[in-house]
Amino acid sequence: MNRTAWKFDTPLEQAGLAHSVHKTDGHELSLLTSITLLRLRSLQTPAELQASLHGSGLHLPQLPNQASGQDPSVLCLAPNDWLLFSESLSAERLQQLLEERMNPRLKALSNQSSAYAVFRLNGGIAPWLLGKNCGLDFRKGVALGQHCSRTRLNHVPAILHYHQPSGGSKPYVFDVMIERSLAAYSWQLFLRQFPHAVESEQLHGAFYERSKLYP
Amino acid sequence: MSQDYRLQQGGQIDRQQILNFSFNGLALQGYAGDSLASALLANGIHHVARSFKFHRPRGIYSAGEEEPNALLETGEGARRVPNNRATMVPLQEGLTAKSQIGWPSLEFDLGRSLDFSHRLWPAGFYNKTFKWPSWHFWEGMIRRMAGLGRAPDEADPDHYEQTNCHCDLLICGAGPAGLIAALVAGRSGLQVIIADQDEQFGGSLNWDSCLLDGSPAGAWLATCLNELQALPNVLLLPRTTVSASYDHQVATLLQRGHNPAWRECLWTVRSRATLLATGAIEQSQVFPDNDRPGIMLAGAVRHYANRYAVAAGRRVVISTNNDSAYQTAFDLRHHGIEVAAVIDQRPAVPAAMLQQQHDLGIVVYPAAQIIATCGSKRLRGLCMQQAGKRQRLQCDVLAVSGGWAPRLHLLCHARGSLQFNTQGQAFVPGKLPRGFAVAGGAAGDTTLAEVFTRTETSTIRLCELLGASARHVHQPRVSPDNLQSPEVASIPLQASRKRQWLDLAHDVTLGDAKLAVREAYTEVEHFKRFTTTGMSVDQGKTGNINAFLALSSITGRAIEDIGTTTFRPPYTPVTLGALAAGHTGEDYQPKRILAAENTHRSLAACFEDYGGWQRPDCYPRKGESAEQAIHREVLRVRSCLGVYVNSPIGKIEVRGPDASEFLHRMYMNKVHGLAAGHCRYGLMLNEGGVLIDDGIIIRLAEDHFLLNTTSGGASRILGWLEEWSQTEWPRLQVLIDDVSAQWANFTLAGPRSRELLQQLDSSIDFSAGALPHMQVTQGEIAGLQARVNRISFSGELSFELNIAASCANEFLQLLLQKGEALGITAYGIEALMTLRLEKGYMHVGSDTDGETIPDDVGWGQAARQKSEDYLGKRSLARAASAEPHRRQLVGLLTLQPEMAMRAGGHFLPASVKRAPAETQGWITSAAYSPVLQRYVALGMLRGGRARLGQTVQVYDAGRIYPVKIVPSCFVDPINQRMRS
Repeated sequence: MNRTAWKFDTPLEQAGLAHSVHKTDGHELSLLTSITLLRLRSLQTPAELQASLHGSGLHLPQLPNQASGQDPSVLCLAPNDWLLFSESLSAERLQQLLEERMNPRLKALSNQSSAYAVFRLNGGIAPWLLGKNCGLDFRKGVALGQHCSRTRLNHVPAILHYHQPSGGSKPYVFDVMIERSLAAYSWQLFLRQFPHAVESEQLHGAFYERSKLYP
Repeated sequence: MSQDYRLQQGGQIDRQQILNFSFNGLALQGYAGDSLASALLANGIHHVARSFKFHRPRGIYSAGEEEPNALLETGEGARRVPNNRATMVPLQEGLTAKSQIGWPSLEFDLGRSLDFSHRLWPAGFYNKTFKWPSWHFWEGMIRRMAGLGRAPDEADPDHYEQTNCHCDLLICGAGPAGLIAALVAGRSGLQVIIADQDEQFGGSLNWDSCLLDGSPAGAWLATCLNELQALPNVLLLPRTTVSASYDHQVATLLQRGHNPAWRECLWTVRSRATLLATGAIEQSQVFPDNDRPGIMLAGAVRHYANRYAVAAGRRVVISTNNDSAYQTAFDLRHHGIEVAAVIDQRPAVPAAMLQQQHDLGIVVYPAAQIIATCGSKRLRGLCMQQAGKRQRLQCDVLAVSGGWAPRLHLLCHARGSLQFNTQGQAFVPGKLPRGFAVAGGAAGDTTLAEVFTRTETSTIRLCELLGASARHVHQPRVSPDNLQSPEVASIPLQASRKRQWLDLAHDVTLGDAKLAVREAYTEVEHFKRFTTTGMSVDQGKTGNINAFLALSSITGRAIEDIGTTTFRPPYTPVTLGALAAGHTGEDYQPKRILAAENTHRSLAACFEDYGGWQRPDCYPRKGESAEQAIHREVLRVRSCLGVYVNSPIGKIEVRGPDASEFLHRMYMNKVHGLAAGHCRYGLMLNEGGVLIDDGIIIRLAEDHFLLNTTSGGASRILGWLEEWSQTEWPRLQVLIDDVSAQWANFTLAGPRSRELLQQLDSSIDFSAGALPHMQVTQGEIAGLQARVNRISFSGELSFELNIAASCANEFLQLLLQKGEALGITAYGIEALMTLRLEKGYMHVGSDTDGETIPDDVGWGQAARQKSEDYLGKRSLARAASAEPHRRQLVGLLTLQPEMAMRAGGHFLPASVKRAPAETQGWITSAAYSPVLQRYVALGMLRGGRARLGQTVQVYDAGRIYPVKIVPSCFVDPINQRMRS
């Protein structure tokens, strides 16, 4: 048996859940099935890092909760702690990109592509659905264009990445990264919460439009 | 029963929509727009409840959430809700309501005997009386008699929701002040949430007869609401009570559903500022027998007439100590309801008021007071005294007003202070917490014009503080000009042999207050607890001021010196369903599933929860019991081959130039000498030298380690490593990374495990020479990248295979398929625990506790041999750590092989024949060994290692039996099998 024969199960398939897309009234929750996630930690100074990654097309944001780039995007989870996320690059390619530029003794790079499930939440429902599970203020992230946060969604550790895909007209796109073992639980939880979130969005949707205080 | 007390005109009810409901089985009718209380009053029903302590007949007293009497059960079966305030329940078709105190019936209640013998039950009687034989002997009976409603026996069938929300300004209350504030803040662009507990926004405008800009208040209200609804940055939440306010501008709001899909939703709102526009609550008056059905707050009587078109009675007498009640007289006359008299306790009644009443033909008795009332289940009349002259007045409703107390419960929740306002005889806002503002009646404003003006000013200031520029809004002109003075007279308490009720919700009388002072409960918080005034769900809404005034009067201290008690959240009761929303049933707590979940299910695994993980206990085959399956799995591993899925095991990578030094300090065992490609068992201690985790330290490269921790301790140990790295040794260049979820872990154990691996297409040499015990390697297995650890927790030849979690299902199927010819079996946690017990391996958490140090589990020598410093070393040097009578881990066998042992049994000295006796330790793990065909156990026994060969008694749930103390390893003590 060689590698091409392997079937890489999604976190939902592993739990016996057949569906990985849920749509209601223009709002969509879906599981991203082909993803690359790399966790990068470094002992180098920010200046050294930027210098070493010059020309790679990667920009490492320096402040926690900042995010940059489209594909790959880089999420700063904590000082000197990043998560690189791509839907098009393989883990090997992304690893190579970093390995050849960074001091090998001063970095920790681990492939976490199998560790997480990434749910994409599209539409105005996003702040209402996520707001049912955590107390973060989503207005600020929207105003900044791109943003990430580590939080707990109904006690489940999660990384939230707000971004606007290029050319996208939808006001909210959140990628919700959840540890693989908790993916099925969270998926089913979101589906149960969907109707109330849709109702909230229909009743109060405009409330979460861009605030004047976060220009 | 027809709606005899319904007025012919007026009200905000839909007379076309008749709603049927029942009260205590009596079929009644009301209209859409009614509350349960207004519908009951429209049908002439005042007597709806019995009092909490003395079972006295009580009637509807107010029109809002401050209702102290009319607490009813609504709904039936699983949807029965106790303690619902009739004043707050919107009338619905088919609603059933019942009174909740009174046996055999509300009308004839045997509990009333407590009232007739009330002298035996003064305040605090239960603290003094029911001591013999013990309080618990009486507790059940007292609780049965005193209880407030019954919770349904069935599971709640309704669905509840929770949500979080952020905003710039949270406005609590949508009365005139709240609406003006929302207009100002909404127009300024701030994100505003305005919540009101009522179905309809408007507060007092819904029942006030004033004109705004020359039109009824409803017209202005509609315009205002239209504008607010059109503002996208304003969120309007009717039927929503702000139930609590916490630090950092966090508030919880309970929204009652309008959608059958959910019943209630609990909002947690984080705002940048909070404006309290909660209005004020009318206070009761204290006079003899002031609790009869038919005695109501004056504002409530007006409310029922104006909003619901309900006459609370045919002939009304008003008693007041302030101007506000005169408006009730005016409105009642306007509706054609007879107002027999106004009894004004003030010596000097404003001339304008007197003139107004005179014009209406209403008699005013200045400087008068009520000295008695009559009527049992409905007020029939009263006796008043003026200038020493007594006079009887016939009436069926007595509308009382003792002034208005600002609703400041939320301010108190947020630790704002209150100060007493002598003019208004009420507590008003003192020092406000940061980000808080108070407006309208809650700020002590008494006239509508004042409310509009001052609220606008304070909201503009608040907007500016929030960084928004706000402009003035049009303030409606209020007419007629309100003559109302904010002054509330302080009325001396009467000396009377009859009871005068301070707190209707808890049956607290003036006599109780006097008793509390006689017993030296003079501090307000002590006084509250002794008398129970202002406690529980009521939180002193209508009774607190009178209780404090009584305390002031009795002690002779100014009320400013007495202060007030602490209002506690929630403001009104919050259902458990709303609090638990999202955390029940399937969502009670997160469930972690294994990456190969599907395959486990196909193998008919029995799942159990282990620290949130759903893990297979065992894999019973058809016709097999769980016990039989466990024994089969153990025997198969010992004799042949088993596969165990250990994916939850913690996998933490530590890298960096100082990784070795860091781990050398973190672990009790030596790490520096560990060569790359080798692994070592390690114990982790805390500062006290106590064992907190064990696992395998794997050196993948010079500066790259992988730690295997216990499954349940992975995140805890990760945090522990990070804490020491970041706070104690920040100069060490170390990077810590949790890769637990990335790798699925499969343990192949048994004499034929190598055989199976050699059948797989792999780049790894699995021979004993190439991969000996306690070494690791990396390579490809069947095309997958794998990390292979030659370690064993079963005592058998064992390989731990780590592959990407996304391939777990298929990889497990591959192992089972390839291993079928070799007799492979999947084994679960129970079999693993039996295997490790036979081998004598401890399990941290089962065999250790918060006192266990390395020497207790046989690792003392290793701890002493490590000369360098490590975490916990200093504590191990304490005398207590070397004490010879510490509990030590030993093996245990019963004297008869067939005899069973269970974990938890306590060791007793041989001389002791029965429990209780001082324990010498306990059995920590026990299981039947199918290999040895007897029970084996591990236990922590005082001085255990020095007692090998002796017997000790075990006490287990009433049974005492002897066991022999033996070395802890029962199978393969020379490790031949796992090193093979």
